[in-house]
Amino acid sequence: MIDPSDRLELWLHYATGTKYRQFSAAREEYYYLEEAFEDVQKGRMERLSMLSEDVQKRLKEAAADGFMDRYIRWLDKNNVHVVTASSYAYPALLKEISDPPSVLFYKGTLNEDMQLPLAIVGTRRCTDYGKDVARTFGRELVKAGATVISGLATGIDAYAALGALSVEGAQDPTVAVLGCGIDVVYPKGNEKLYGAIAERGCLLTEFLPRTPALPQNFPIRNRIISGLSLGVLVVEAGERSGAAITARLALEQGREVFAVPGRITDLMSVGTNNMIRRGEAKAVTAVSHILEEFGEGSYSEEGQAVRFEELSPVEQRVVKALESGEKNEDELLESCACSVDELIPTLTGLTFSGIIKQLPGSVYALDPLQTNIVY
Amino acid sequence: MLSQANSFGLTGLNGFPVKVEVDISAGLPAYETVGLPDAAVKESRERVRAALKNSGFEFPTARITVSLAPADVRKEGSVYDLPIALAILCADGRLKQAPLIRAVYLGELALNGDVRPVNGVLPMVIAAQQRGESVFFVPRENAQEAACAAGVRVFPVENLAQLVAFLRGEGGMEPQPRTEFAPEDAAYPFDFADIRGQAAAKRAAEIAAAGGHNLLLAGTPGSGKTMLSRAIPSILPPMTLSECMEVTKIHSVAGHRGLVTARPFRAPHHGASSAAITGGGSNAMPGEISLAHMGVLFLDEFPEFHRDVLESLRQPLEDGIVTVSRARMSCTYPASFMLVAAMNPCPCGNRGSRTKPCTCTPVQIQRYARRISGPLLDRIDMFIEMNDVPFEDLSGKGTGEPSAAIRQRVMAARARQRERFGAESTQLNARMNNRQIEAYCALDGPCRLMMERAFQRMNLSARAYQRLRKVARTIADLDGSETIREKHLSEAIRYRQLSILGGNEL
Repeated sequence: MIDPSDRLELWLHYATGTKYRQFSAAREEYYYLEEAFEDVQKGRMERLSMLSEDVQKRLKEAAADGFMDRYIRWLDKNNVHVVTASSYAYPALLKEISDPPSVLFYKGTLNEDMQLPLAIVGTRRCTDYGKDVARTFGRELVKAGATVISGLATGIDAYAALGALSVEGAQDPTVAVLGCGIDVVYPKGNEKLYGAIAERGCLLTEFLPRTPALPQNFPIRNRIISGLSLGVLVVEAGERSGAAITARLALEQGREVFAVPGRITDLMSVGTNNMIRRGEAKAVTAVSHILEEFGEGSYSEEGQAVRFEELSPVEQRVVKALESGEKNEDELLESCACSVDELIPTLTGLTFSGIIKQLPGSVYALDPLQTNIVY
Repeated sequence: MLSQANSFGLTGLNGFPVKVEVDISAGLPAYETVGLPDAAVKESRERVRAALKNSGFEFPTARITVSLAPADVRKEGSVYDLPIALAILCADGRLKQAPLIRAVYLGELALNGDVRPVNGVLPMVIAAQQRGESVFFVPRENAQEAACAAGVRVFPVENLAQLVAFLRGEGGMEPQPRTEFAPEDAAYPFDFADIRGQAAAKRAAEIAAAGGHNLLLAGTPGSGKTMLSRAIPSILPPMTLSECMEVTKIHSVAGHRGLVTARPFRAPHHGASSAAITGGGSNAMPGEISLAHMGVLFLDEFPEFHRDVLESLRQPLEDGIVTVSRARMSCTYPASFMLVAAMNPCPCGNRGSRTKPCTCTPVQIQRYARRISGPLLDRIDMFIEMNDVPFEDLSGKGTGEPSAAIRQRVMAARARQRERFGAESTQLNARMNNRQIEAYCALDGPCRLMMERAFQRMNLSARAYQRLRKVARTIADLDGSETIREKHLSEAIRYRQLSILGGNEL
């Protein structure tokens, strides 16, 4: 249910939208918004002349009889909750930034004191490497007690959220910040994930309901992702990407920025590698590197360990061969000196044990995110 | 005067006898053909008239009635030109009646009197032989094909004048010697030895050939999907004589002359209509799946085929036959083929390549995967992703095993299957029903554990579970093992993994 005390702020936000400055200007002019509402209803716009014409027009529109009732009824019916900047439930970290959103719409539960909020962002065109890393970090950070903030885009954001949701029994493991109205599912392919987060986490946006996912919305959305978080982890980013914008905003807001290094030949690691090279981001190769930064040093990674000597001779040869990088079956046959009908069952066995993983194109690689091999 | 000559017709692969009757009576010159003739049969009048004239015979100036009996079955094509011409000569008193009803005459006439080849000669000869006919006069180009049938004397006919002279007892024709089959020596244009690398894909092809499993190849453009598929007929066991006959019959109906001794390889384009694939047309001709009978049907760019075409493959894949029904007729053709499908790993084709980046979004990849998923994918036993081959490797020397060696193993595995199935109608692992799977594909403790893990990780359907057991059975057969062991099942599981299908968890 929408709190009646939020009604007038919702009214003002309906007109100003993401224009944070106009919202605060009106707020400074009137200590009691009731007066503003009355003035607008009676057509006295003198004290609001500093607002743009467009905003004034919308204020009048929304002050019409019954408009706000319908608006609030719609929000209630769709289970949309509202938190305003003046509310005690408004996320404390977000209040600190220079341009905090005046009103937030959300579905699910917005935890008042979010534990260790950390953003995971990255490219929509992630590689299988990025997918694995995003999922693992999402999962392990939640296990360590953190809340994963992401943007519900395809690619890295989605996999980070999936990883976070995969921890069973975790309380409010993830928050997704949308670049569109709370009732708009974008991208369409994430519909299932959208539902899962609404149920077990929190979907959040400052955009008015029904706002489509316009390209210019995303940079505005990105400041909320970083603003909600203590730190931002960039998993994969191309040379110019939204993730890089989020990282820059995070630095401006005084938040920590981390980046996962990638191969210098990977297009989708150019952005992250550049951030590390310029000193904008701290290189991170394990979940504990992030946690140490926030004094949560007690966490130990949960990956399983396998003793090398317990592997069969063929398995040992495969693992040895893969230590120097990923290989396809032809290359493995060459370096393992075994027949194809020996190799293939071995590969399935190692994959099922989580020691290696299969990549597209019948390429195999060790999977240190899942299994450590102890020699 | 009245006369008669024997000929044959076809519906689908089944022949039926046709009696060509000619009556010449006094009256205004006229020519009438009855007995449900199609346009080609009606036009035979002009060909017969010119051929008779140009062979030195006079075309009778009288009322001519040609009847093709039985009168209620539609007659098609130009095969009746020759018997009509002979019956006219006989009715005109220039030929004796006796030889015309003691033999079967097939052939189209050219205007100069030459005899041209026709379609479907072998199925007609076989059907006629089963009805007690033994002497055949067929166009010279069809003689080799006709002489495959046992217990027949086939005379190759060059032209009308030569045949008339022979029928008048002037000699000049020799029967065609019996055509010898040598399916073992059939030559295949592609050999496994020519394919570089791709050890896993070759192994998958070997297993698929041994058990008759359908195979889906995914790989970057240029990784050798087409070449590997083209080489698959060369590792299948040679066809038996009766298989050769069956395949030749189908190809004869479709108008391909000559004997088929090599296993067919058919590669229809992805724009093909469902009638072209399963068979159709007003005269219900065999389609690509029947032409691929006993061989390989290769569908390149699998997801690009029309949805209805792919759906129409489902029933023949299960039954090994296809019934083509049209308003006028309904024909059943054999269609027992090995399906080899090929696809790119993603819309741009570069997923899994090490040299070129993939530019597809996850949504595009999901949409691409959805085009092949569902019931059809459930009918394909084995998936394999090809390795990306760098250019240097392609230009290097091939070191692969020759097809002949692989074929030996395939034949040994098939012999083991025959021994196991005994008198049952199923002879290949891929065609086992659920009862046979229970009986022959028992899983021991470690295998069951493996299967449980596979289920957890791979989200398998019940049908996929049965397919896994069949493929494991074939791998055990290749290994000469009585029971399915863990390594056989592990290998089978490998052929159920396709990275593009793994991405739809969002």
